[in-house]
Amino acid sequence: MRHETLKQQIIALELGRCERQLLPLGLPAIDDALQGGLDLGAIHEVTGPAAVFFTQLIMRQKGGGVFWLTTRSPNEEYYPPGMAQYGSRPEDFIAICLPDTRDLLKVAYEVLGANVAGCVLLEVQKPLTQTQMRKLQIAVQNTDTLGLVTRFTHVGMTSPEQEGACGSAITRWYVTIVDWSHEKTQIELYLVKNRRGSPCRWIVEIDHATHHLHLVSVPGE
Amino acid sequence: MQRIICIWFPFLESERLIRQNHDLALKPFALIMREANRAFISALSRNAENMGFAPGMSLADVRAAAPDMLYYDADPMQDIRCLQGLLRWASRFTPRVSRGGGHNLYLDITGASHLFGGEDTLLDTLETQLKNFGFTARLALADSKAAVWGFAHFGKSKSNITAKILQEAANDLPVEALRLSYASTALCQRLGIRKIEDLVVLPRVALTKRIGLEGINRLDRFFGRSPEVTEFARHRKRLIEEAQFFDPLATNAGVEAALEELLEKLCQRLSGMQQGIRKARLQLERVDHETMSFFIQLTRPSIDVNLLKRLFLHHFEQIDVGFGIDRLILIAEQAAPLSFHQLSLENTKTQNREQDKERLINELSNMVGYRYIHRFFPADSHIPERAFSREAALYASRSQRWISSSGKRPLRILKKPVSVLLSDGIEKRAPETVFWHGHKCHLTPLSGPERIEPDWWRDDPDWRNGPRDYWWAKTHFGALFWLYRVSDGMKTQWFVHGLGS
Repeated sequence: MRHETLKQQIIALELGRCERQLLPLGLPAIDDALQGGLDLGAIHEVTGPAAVFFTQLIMRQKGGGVFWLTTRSPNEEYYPPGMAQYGSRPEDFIAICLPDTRDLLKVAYEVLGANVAGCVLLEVQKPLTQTQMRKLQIAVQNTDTLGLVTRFTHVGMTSPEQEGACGSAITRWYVTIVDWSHEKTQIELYLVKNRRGSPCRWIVEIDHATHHLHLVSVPGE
Repeated sequence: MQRIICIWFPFLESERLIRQNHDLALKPFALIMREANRAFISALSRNAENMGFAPGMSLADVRAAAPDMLYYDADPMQDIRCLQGLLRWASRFTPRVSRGGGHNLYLDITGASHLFGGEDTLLDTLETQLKNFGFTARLALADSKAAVWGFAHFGKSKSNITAKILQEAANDLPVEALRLSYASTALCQRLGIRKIEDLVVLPRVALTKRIGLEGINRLDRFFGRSPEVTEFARHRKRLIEEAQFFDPLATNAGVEAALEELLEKLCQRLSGMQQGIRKARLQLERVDHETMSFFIQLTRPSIDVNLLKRLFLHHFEQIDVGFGIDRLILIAEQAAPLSFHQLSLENTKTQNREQDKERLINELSNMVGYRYIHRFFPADSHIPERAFSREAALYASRSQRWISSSGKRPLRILKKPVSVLLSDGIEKRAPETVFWHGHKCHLTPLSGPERIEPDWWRDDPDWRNGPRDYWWAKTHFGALFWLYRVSDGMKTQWFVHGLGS
């Protein structure tokens, strides 16, 4: 028991405040592995072919408006009508699309620090450096905003180990689609990096109507 | 009675070039314009004009007569920009300035001339200052825009015409000074009416028949007998605060302090009127007559001095103080009624958040440009790429709820669908393998087809291939494709239009 409390205190110190604020994903297996849920006021990295699906899921869970920051891509863009079908609220989205990554990061520091959005989704072309990541973390640490960083790549041409590789994120996820139908989606969540515990894998099913998560199986067990 | 000055720049085009390149000052040169495959002279330098050339001549003729004449391309946009700069300069004499057609500026100096030592002194000052800039100017001062144009173009330079001597002074002007239509001027020439004095002695009824009602109107306006529309749009009903400094401000901190003072004054005035700033401009005038302007815009009208100042501060790194700034002008370009006052009792957490959010959007819009910050809006169309629109978040408020369409839609859309497979014959099923960005990719078809027909009333080049059948498919690496098929009877082509993951 003392061990647990000490652990909590260390985490709190790391985040620069006395108590952790959490966003539980609503699935005990995952929440336990994260020691309660995703940390708010922290940066999480989501990668993989189904990164957008998972970020969309987290953003809906969190609520409270989204700032979506991206460098201009020549061809791909987010599709709000599709987001709306999965229960997100595109009317609360604010999209900031800048051609230059440096400008975008400057904006990101402002937005993360302002504590006005539920989630801030930052989409970058190249992996961020350790310094940039750390600066994002410092900007967000005293707020209850959830910072999400994804990398803009041509879907699926990388493996979980290649993606990301930035030290400062609290968690890093690699997400792929297992099965999909109009009613439900099965995704494989691979928690590649986890500051709160060890890496894990799950296959999770999401019901599109009720937005409930069910654990289907744990690969390798 | 209004007193209006007209400044005409007869050699604006060439003198603008001389200002950029002083070596040209003594050389004759011409500015040419090309039309179809003909190049003709649009303007000449003063030296060239003295040699006997005139605008409108073809370039070939001029080169034959003066082989070593230099020539450059004319740039009317630059001329206008130059005039706008001069207009800003002229606004130091009176707030009511405007740019007429051609290379003319109008200054309404009613009640302002005494500040500059009287009308004649003002004309002298204008001329000398313009001469220092390198511009030849012809000036005139009279009671109406019509008259002042005539005197500037055809009268003695710096002629100061009062109502009393108008009649007399006008007698010597040629008929062209009235700016009649081309046909009427030609008619007057044919009839031997060369000067205005010949025209005014004619009986009015006969004159109306000859030169038309429009011509008579012009004549009346010239003599101030009928009112004319005088537009000085620049400073109409505008809220301005300004500060002048005897010792020029030499640092950004100084400018900042001065700005704060101006903002306080302006906001106080606005709060009395229950108005707030929606758009504002700060104009800095340097000792060497250089001016700089900075704009800010807000989502909703505000009179919060700190907020406004912060928005201006984003631009401050661009300020080049140079030898010092001796004048600051703050203009509320657009003001709107203050929407409401938030009572402290209602200040719940969510409301605070909304306000903070708005403030952040304001700030970011002024930092990076409002064009880059959007909100999404649903649009009523079954064509996937037309089903939403984006608007600048600075102007748009939150949209209505989204109504989802019947078929499943992707999370990401490709603005230009990517062709992944071309096969012979007509295929009904979704393919098993496609080539995605050069990589072989195995697909597991999941659902489909969903047929989407193009809008028959709109000729969209992307939809010319006819109706599309959309399928959902999973790739071997775990992504979700939204792909469609078009076939022309011989071949079937598959495109990826969106990604569901």
